[in-house]
Amino acid sequence: MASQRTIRLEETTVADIDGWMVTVANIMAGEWTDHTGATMRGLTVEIGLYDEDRGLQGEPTVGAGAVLRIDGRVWRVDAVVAGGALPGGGVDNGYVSLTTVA
Amino acid sequence: MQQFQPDKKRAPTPAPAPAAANKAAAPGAAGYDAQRAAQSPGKEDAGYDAQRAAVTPAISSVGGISMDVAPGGPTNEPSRKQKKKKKAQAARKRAAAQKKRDAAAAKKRQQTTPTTDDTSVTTQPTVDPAPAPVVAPTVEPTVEPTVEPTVEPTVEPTVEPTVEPKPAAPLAPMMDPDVNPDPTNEYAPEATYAEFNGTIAVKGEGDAHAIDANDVKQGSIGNCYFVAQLAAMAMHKPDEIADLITDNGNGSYTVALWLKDEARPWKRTKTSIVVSSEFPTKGGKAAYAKPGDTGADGPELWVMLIEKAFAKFTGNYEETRGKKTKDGDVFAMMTGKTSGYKNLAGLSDAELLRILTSSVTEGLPVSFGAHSTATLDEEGQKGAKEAGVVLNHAYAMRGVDGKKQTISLYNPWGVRHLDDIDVKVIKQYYANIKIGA
Repeated sequence: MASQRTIRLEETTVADIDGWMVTVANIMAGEWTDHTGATMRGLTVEIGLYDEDRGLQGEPTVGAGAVLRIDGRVWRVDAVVAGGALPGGGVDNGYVSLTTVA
Repeated sequence: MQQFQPDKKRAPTPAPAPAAANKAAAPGAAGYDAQRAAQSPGKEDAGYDAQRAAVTPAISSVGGISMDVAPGGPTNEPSRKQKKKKKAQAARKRAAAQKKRDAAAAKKRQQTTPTTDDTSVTTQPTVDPAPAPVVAPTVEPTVEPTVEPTVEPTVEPTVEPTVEPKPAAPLAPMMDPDVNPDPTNEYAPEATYAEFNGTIAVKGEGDAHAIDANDVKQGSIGNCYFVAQLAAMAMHKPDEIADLITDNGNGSYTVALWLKDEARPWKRTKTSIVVSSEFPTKGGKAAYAKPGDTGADGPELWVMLIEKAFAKFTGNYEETRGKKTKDGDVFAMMTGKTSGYKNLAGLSDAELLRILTSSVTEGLPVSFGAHSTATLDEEGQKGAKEAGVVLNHAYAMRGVDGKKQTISLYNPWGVRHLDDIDVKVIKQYYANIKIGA
């Protein structure tokens, strides 16, 4: 059984997860659909998933409790945290934390 | 439409060499401080204090002599007093001559070509508008004001050697800036350093120049203000960027940036920062700014080199964050000229378009700062998202069309750019612009 892995991704930045380019944007209040199809409301984040060769593969809006599949691995959204009120330039970013699901 | 080259189809960048042993184990920040102290006199840091401490006991001993002898002074014969005064004057002259010789020697040392890997942050006297404060040996500024008043009436020849400046300490090997492994850097806890054998710039497919905006691809740290301004500079002043970076031919590069003088923040000094070609990686890929194109000599490194040089100056990559940076004017860092800043709320649509069109005509780089999510209501947030805007983010302007009244922005992520956006939408979701000189 693979060990559990938790990562934190900063808003307005680009991470590399298992060879995928993952962008993190627009942490704000809104709605998303969880893995059961239920509509949820709370803080949301746009996660852009880019394959190096094929480009954008999806840009789901998710919130805490949502599940993402990146390169075959399943990640659960643990928390979405908003930043502050300073404009532009990554000055007051929020973040999202993800944990692998066994 | 004044428009720059559209995005190119990028050749996949091969993963760099397997991550080397975690160089973060080396005390990057501490080592850097010590190094900077040895090379940047006038900065009140630990290394400077230590050096000053080594000098201070000598000064104290001069003061001790003064205290012992001075009470007897008034009873001495005038001729003896005059002799002492002459001696003191002669001592001061010798000290002044020695100071000049030491300053000249220090200046010569500063100009020596770097030969070690990633070892120094040095200033270039030839381009510094006021070089004196940054090239003087570290000891001198402390000695001069403290010794003179005390020594004058009582100094004996035997005291002199104790106040002579000491030669600068040899440069200690310095590691790359620390990436702050867990827990300080919560976004890149697994980062390790790896060698990138590449070249400064590569003219890839779709590039207008070898140094091109589409080489800019932000990494996992919130320094979009930094990379967005690099992208804007690359659109208008690629040659100026090229002039900032020198391949030292030994695996290291020298990056020259106009950095703020800590004591006088309104003043910038062109400063040479030597960095190695090792960069923080996660999973074998660059953790922060990514390589650009790939050429016959390997991946293109100019963005990574400038980002790393700034990280080295600030102490580590963490300090390049928008939240922590001590210098948000990246245009000025590259040109030496202070940028203009405008709040969009105070401008009409026509004024904004006129300013942007004029900037493009004059070849001036422009960056945009989006509103923070917190400054918009829920409706505004939703509108920004639907318009494709990334809030809390910085962009480079890559085109403006006065007739259609639209603006095109380059996202420093390297993807998700905004083309032909109505000026009213821009004004709604962007807070400010910065215009380079």
